[in-house]
Amino acid sequence: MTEHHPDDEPTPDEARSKAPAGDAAIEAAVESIAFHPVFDVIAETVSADETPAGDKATKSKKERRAGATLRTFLLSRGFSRGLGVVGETLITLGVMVMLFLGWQLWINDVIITNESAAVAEENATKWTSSTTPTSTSSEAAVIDFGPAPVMSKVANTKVFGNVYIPRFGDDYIKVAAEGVEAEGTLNRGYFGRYPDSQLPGEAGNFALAVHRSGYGDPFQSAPMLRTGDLIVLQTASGYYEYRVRNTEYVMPSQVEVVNAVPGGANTAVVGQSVMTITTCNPELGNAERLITYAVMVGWRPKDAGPPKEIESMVKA
Amino acid sequence: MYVALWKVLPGPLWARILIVVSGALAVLAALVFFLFPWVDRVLTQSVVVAS
Repeated sequence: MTEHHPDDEPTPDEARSKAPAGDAAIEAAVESIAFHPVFDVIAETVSADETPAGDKATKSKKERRAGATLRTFLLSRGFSRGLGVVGETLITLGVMVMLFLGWQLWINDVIITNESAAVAEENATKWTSSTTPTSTSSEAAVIDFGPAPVMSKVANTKVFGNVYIPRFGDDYIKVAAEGVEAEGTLNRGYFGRYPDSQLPGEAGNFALAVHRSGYGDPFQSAPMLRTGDLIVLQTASGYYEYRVRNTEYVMPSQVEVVNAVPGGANTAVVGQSVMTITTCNPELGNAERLITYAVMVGWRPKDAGPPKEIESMVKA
Repeated sequence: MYVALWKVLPGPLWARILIVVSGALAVLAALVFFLFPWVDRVLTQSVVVAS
């Protein structure tokens, strides 16, 4: 027994076998939609709205006409072509969004990581003294190098330092630059200094902003920081040592965290030098800010060499 | 849409494939060098505190 009956009329699929496979598939799909019982219901509803009840002949005529018009439209070549164009456009846009995400979270991330690492290494080479510290390391630990000099302010987007955080690994070296605009500082994976905050070595708050994820993921591991963790800022003149005091989650509008006294008055208290780092929270999100506070605990001039904990991180 | 594009391409199969591949690469380059950085600037995440 065979499925094929030669006296059968060719099915619509057979009739269109010469058309490209894609068009035939689309038309078959449209056909199955067009003959869906829902259009009979639509046709009835349309005629019921427009026809006085009881006029049976007119109603069935109108009903048939409405259903036929819909079917003719749905089966038309133009409609199926249009549907195809809409579908392909949506697929294309979807692919573009996926490409963008791949670019932003992976490719651009790697590019910016490498670029900022190159700048940081160049800085480290430039700012590390070639003279060997004369004192032994045990002596160096107790030497007081006096009050830290106030770092001189640099122009907007200019690089002024390197940031070392041993908690994030031996290879954690990031760049610090002036200003918190996306272009020029933050989107290069740098720490950016709030221009109205105080400078390192000055009484008050040295406030920085940094991206948490993306742009080289400069502060992705922020929640790993513990009280007492070392954060070192290396500049052309030496090393400013800070220790993490605490962290806080705040709303983006809570600008008082970058005040001279974080969360308090915007007037510096003599003898109090703190650092505030603002980053976004949650990771990849933007609803809140994760704030890390650190207190300045020491200073070493360039010629004294880096603090022991970051000796292996600073490339001479 | 893409079927129509394919139909208007001239030449034998290998030439059409060459045109399609180079066209796709050109579009990709335009996305990576112009569109994506622009979208990135527009959608950039804020990490600062501001009123």
